[in-house]
Amino acid sequence: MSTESREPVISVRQLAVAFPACDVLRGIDLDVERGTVFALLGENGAGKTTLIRILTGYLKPGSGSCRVLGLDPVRDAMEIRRRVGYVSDAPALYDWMRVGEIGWFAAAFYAPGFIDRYHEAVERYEVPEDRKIGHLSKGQRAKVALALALAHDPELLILDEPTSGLDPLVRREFLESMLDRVATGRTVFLSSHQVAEVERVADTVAILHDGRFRVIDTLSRLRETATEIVVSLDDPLVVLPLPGEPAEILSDRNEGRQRRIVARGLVETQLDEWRARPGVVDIRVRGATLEELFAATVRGRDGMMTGN
Amino acid sequence: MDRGLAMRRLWWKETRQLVPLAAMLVVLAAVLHLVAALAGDRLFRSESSQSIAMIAMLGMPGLFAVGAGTLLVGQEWDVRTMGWLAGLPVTGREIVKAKLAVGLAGLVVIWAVVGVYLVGAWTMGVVDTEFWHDALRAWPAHTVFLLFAATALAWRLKSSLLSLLAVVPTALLPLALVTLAMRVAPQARWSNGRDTTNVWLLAAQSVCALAAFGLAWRWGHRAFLPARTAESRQSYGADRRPSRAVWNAVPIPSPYSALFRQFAVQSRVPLAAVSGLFLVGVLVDAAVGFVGAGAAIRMVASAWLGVLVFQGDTVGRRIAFLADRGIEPRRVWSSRIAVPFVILGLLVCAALAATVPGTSWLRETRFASVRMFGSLMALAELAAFVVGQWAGQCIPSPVIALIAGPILAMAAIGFSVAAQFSLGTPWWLAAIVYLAPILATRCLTRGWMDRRFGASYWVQQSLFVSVFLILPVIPFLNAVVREPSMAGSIAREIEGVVRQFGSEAATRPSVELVLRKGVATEDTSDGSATDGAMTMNADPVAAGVTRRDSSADSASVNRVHPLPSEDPIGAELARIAEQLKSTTGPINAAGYRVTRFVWHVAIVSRAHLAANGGPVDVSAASARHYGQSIALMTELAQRLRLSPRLVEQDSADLIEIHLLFELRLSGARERIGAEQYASSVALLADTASRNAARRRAVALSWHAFQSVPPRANAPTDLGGYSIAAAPGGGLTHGVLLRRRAGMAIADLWALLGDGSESGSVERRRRINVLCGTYDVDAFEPELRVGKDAGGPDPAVGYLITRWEQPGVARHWFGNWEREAAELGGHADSP
Repeated sequence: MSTESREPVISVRQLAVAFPACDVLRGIDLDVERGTVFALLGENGAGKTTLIRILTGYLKPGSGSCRVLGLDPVRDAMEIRRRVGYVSDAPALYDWMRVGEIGWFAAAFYAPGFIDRYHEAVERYEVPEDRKIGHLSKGQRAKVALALALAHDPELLILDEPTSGLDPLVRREFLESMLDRVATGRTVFLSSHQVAEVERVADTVAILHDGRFRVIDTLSRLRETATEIVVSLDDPLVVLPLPGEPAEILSDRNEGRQRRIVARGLVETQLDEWRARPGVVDIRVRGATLEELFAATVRGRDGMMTGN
Repeated sequence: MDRGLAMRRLWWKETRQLVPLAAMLVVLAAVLHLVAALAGDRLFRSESSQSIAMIAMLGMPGLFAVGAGTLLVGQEWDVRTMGWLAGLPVTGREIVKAKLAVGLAGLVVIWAVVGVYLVGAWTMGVVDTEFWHDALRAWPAHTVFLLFAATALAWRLKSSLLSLLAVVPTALLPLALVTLAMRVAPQARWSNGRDTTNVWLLAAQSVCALAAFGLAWRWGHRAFLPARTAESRQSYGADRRPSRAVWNAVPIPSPYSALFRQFAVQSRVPLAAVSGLFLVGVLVDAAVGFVGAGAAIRMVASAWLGVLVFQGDTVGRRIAFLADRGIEPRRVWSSRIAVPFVILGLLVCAALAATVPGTSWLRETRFASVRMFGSLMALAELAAFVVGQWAGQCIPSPVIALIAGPILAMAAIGFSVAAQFSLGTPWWLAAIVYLAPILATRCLTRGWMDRRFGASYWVQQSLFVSVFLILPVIPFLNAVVREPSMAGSIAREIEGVVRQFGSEAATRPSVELVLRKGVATEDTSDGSATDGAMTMNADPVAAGVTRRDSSADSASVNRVHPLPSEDPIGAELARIAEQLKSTTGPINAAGYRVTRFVWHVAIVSRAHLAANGGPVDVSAASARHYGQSIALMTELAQRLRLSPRLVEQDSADLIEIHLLFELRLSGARERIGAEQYASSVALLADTASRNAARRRAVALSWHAFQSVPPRANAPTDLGGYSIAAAPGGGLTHGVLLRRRAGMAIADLWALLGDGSESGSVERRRRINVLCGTYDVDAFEPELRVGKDAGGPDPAVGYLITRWEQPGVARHWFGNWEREAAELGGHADSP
């Protein structure tokens, strides 16, 4: 394997961005390996789009560094945008062009083969080529934007809410195509709210909250280590101390005689300690879904949305 | 829902949308005033012409009217908030009403502000009431029409860009109606002998405003009704552009071709509309028959072509498509600018070609002026395009950019013209700076594409603006910095002398002595002597005798008439004495003919007396004349010394030199009389008074010079002498003149301080070079008797003398002063 293929496609070190009265990103670190699907989750305003805009060279970071395909987004933004397929959350298209026309227009800037791949994608997404962009529905516009992003066969796809507006069938198809791309060594970096979809395709998941990565791990390891523990108590006033390391408590909610805890890395001995405490009637443990993990990360220990 | 609160909030939202427009108008007004001030008095003060700044202020309500209608409606369509607005629980009627009312209220506020400004200008006396009376009668009604028309067009066209373009020809509608009516029924123009065009115009404006209001109301209301299905079907299927099969067959274009085509197709409607507007300007020239009548229209169109370079992609953030795909900024820039530039080039060539002489509608204009003005217009249109494209990239809102673009373009051109005429900027430098807007947009295309309008972007833009503004000023600054000025210490000393005598002494009126016509005739180059009473002349410029006054130089031939029995020479001498007695103030050097006459009488009468024999009555008359002339020369010298001007001091020197010559002749005391002789000698020997008069004249001449604001291209008087023209434009001319005059005064002051010959030659040379009197020879009185000298009466003949202003301070501290002092010393001795 060549040196280039071993290097992360995206590498971020201590990246920080601050807007007036708001720290959007607070020193995050990130490595996206080649040939994987990296999913970025976060609530609204977490900083996902800001991070993507930095990676594509639209924003300069306040501090820290990042590299995309070995290039510096600040210096080589144009080159990065040429080599990646980028679909923003509100893709800009020429309303007055037709679907076929916009592909023909964009093909002028890419290597041969673009127009064929574009037509293929548009046909697959069932978008009429003689229709004006301005007359398409939101989902159809998203499909055209995707088709344009995929047509030049980029080695990295950066997608910001790519399936927003897509119908379920197309969404499924799109996700499957992501897997196909990854199988050929391409990389996908996607930001999404659709946790269930992310769970289906992602290799690595990062949950961004309050400008920091709360969780960043492979999906398989998350599944292994994230658990939801429901502790039944005989008295709501029973005090149940939370375990320390190696467990990481992501959320802790009091529901009367039950305590619902989402944690990672909780070991059996820590569970045994709880079982041995007076007042604990029962402990049920199951693997937490990604959605539960996401909710727990965002809501925090007291069940409230955590913030600054 | 609280309906009242909802409506108030709606009105607040509409008002808030107008804030950027109002802010832009304030900035534009400030910029235009700055340019007008830089252009100098000719444009900024309405002494003889209308103030451009005031006309611009009067245009602000019009700009507001057009912008408000477009912003309140058109921009909502552009950013797609009209749909959201329609979703609020308020009726479409209420929305339309709110927009119309807020626009009208804003217009009233703008008019109130302009009204305050005009009242202020009127109290300062810079308003031509007749002009403004006519302007203010028709313009307010027209702005109301513009507001309603812009609003109606925005409702109809659903685009701020298109509605703004459409409002320009619409604005001419009332005028077109009145013109048509006057052609159809010319008799309607006059009523009871008065021109009723303004009344008709007002009526047309009112009718058009009502109609526009009705259309705005109707179209606005209709915009909130459901669209008809037929319209939807039509919008889907009406476009006949190629389908997919065709796109497959069309070869993939090169990047530049693709970009050119994309821009041209995307902006075809506004480009066509603006091109049409330009051609309207050419047609207006044709209709009026004078190249330049449509100049304003063509300038606006040229600026708008520039604005469309980048605004075509700013609308709806279309440029993000290219930015997201990493298209090189240089390709984007060149493809955006090429199409409008080529269009402009074609239009300008068409306009120039249309000015080829021989076409019927230009038969009354001269070839040279047509060609020259047409070429200048082409350059101005190019400049407007360059500035317009700059504004189009900097200003995010298309409405604001389209309104501000032409204004900024005209301000930039005004600045360039002012720089050339006021600051002396060479034409090539004024042209080169127009590369700055081109470079600015080229360098900052990436920032515009990515919408990175942060501090870095604006700092870079500011640098380019600075280059544009500062570069033309550099020649002026260079000239000013290198020009030495009067030392502060000297300025304070002079000021002290001025305070001692009072500043009003600088403009104290002086008397110009005159001769009766026919007493002494001169050749035509000398002009003719005046007739009548003496004149009081307080204007130093009019009364000053300058080096360049041809009437005062070169040889003049005086014919002295033979003496009639009535003694007219004696009578004239008495008349001169009477003029002197009638006032105690100074006389000015403009009466040099009188002093020359008196001197000539002295010469001739002495010659008579010197001749042996001759009629007794002639000798007696000659003796009388000689005495009178010496007395008058003494008096003239004293009265010239009272003048606050330098030229009179130098004239007094000349008279005193002549007087000294007479007094030093043998037998002078007997000829003149002991009393008069002593008086004349005392005058000549009084060096202290002479120098004090000179000091006073230097100080007061400088004070008077500084009190008069320098006018461009007008001679500037320094103590009666014209300062040589300084190079450069009006402002440079003024500044350099002041500095050079200051240095001349400083040299004179130093000369007076030294009081000796040493070191003064160079100083005198410098003074006279500054005052433009260097090439004048020092005065050498020359007396030659003409060809009739051998006749029975030696007084009859031709006297050839030279009377020239010898230059500033040419005779100060000369040998004659020493001789005069010696004469005074000898006179005192028994």
